[in-house]
Amino acid sequence: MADRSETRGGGGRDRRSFLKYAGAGGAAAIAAGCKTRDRPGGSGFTTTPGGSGDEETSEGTPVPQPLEGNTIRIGSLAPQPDSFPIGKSIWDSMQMAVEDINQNGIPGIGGRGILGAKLEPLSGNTEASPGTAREEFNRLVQKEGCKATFGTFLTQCTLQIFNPMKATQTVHITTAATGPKPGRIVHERYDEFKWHFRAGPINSYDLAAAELEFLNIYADQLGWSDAAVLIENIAPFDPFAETLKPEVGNLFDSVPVFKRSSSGTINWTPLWDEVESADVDINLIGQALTGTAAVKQWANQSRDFEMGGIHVPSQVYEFWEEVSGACQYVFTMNAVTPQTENTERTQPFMKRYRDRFDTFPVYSGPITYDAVRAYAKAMGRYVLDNDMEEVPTNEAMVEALETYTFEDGIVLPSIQFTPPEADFAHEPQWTSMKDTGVPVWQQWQVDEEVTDDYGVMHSFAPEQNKTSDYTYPDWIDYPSDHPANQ
Amino acid sequence: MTSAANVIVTAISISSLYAIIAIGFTLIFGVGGVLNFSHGALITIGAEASYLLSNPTNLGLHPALGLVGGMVTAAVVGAILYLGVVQFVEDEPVTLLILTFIIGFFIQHACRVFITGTSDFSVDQVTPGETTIAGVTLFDIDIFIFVLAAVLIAATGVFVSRTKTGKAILAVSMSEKGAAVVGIDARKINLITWLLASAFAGIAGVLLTMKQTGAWSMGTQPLILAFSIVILGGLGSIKGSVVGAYIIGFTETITTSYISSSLQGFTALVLLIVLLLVKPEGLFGREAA
Repeated sequence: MADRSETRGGGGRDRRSFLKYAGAGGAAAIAAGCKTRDRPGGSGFTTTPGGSGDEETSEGTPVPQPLEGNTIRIGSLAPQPDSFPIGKSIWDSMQMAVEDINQNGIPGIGGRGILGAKLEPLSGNTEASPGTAREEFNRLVQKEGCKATFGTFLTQCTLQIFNPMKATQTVHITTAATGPKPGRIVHERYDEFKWHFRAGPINSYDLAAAELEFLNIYADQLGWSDAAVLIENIAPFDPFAETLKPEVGNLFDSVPVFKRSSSGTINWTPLWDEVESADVDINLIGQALTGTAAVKQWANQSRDFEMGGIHVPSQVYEFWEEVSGACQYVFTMNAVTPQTENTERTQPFMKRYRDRFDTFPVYSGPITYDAVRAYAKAMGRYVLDNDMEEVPTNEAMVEALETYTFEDGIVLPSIQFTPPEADFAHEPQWTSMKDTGVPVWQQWQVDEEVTDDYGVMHSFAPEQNKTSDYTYPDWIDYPSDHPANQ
Repeated sequence: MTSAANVIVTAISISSLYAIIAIGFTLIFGVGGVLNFSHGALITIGAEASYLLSNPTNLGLHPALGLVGGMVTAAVVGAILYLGVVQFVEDEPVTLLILTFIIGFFIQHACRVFITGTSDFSVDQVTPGETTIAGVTLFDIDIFIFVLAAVLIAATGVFVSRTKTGKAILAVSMSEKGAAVVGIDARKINLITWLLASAFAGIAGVLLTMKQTGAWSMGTQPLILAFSIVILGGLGSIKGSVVGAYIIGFTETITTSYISSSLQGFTALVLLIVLLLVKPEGLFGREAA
């Protein structure tokens, strides 16, 4: 195998920057929405806005196009990609990433497509059902000829495509599910299941670690002495609850309520009565399926406690309108918000997405956008480093994804997958919220400087991604020395 | 630990809602002898209509208009159901039971596909806010539900016992042939009953959405509850339905408040099984078999 310009491995391999082909056509061009250029002669590329499409490196040498003439199909495995926000964000963002790559080439390298190869996105609808996810994976790979797939929401869906992945030796990059089991399986049965990667979000153990880190830093500052914890009783939250339970008591004076709430809960009044009776300051929640009813009833009943944690519905831009603003003051972890600047590329992406789809993406959108571009860049660099003239095999793509770091992310500045020997292999490397800036802690707020007729998804932590201070429910009567009154 | 006052208030509110649902269910059984398994879907229809009318993402009308719209839409759908399907198979109970069951699922899935998808949805409350009485905080929506349910129950009682149409409903429920002898058009009476019962289901759907949230499948659990309630109270008995609603509502609230929230919907099923085995005729009515 040819020498790599940048490699990594367990504990950190040597890296050297990939200057040879990196030039003016990189991240800045993507961010700026600069010039567009038609490629003459029937290459199959079309002009799209969003980048330079540079065909020369910064040194003035032409970007090589050894894969010219190839078309590489990639598949999106999204739940209801036409309507469900998490699925729609996956599919929309994949299309944006493909258009960017076809027009502007690989981030940091330029050209058109992946060194001349055109990307073609195909949509699969998993309907958030494991069985359908497997069928759609097989259709995309075996019938449509997709070289890789991206997406899957719900870890059960991801796990259902593990055997087809193994049978067809196809790379799948998860971009919307948090369960840690896929990463564990890759570690334990690497030869069979090395095909699976996750570009994000961080897994549920890391999410719990992030919540503990957040509470450790912010609980006192925000005036939270006593807490209740209510985590939805669904499998993806098991690791989250397991990690939180022995630790959270150390961060508060008391945690009188620690419960797994039924995913079938419709009437929250008895639970809110219990939390309120326990006289806590903050109700830490983990909610994916029951979030709407819980928030609506919390706000309608003006409950005497603050609320937040992981609240999936609150990550959806339309949620404000759906609940008539009842989500104001609710906070949740998120990967990005329409306000945050995780990297210099975040806001340009968010604005372009908004302009095109008239909404903002959920976390699965930016992660998918990063995943597709990371995949493209890994392929491009592998081809260049090995002086290849053909599209790498999927086996080679596993090696490429393990090897190269993607430095042009919009959620994290760089994406580097954990090595096979990691307990959770092929996952995004994450150390801490403080170091990486994610997850961000988003709170629905009213901010007339941003918009006067809609809620704003501000981020109040961590510091590097903060866009506003935390705000307190206006129906709670706080003592004069409480941070709410400072 | 949740205070007893809170539990009682919650139980009264939810029981009142169950009573509205169960009265409609028992009316149709009492008059036409039909176990209407599409009753849950009519609850969903009411909720979905109010969502379309009063949610800010749709028409954004006042929630009161959503309540009226939900009631009217469910009543119209109920009438269409009777005129388009039920009246043709009224004498075939098994076919009818299966048809209402399937149509109920069809309506709910149509709501999922064409209106709200799989997500929960919400509408604003017609009476937001809270009131404190004797140190106990009451949510205004709960007071509204309790008062509205009381008015509807009383109005139904007066309508059935005092008006000509109401007496005709009673007559048909006792004997369709006897009613026909005195010139009562049983089909017309059945249609009125379906309109009334469906309107009740629609109102319940809107109130449930205002109090909690709505979903395309939201009618299923209330249908099972309604079934449990009318078995408990006695099939066809309005008085029994009200009493049954309060027994089920209180039992459920107490178990979910003091034992586990995961018991929501479970207690009613346990009671249903026990009652069918021990007292199938219910507290006030005819034998379920």
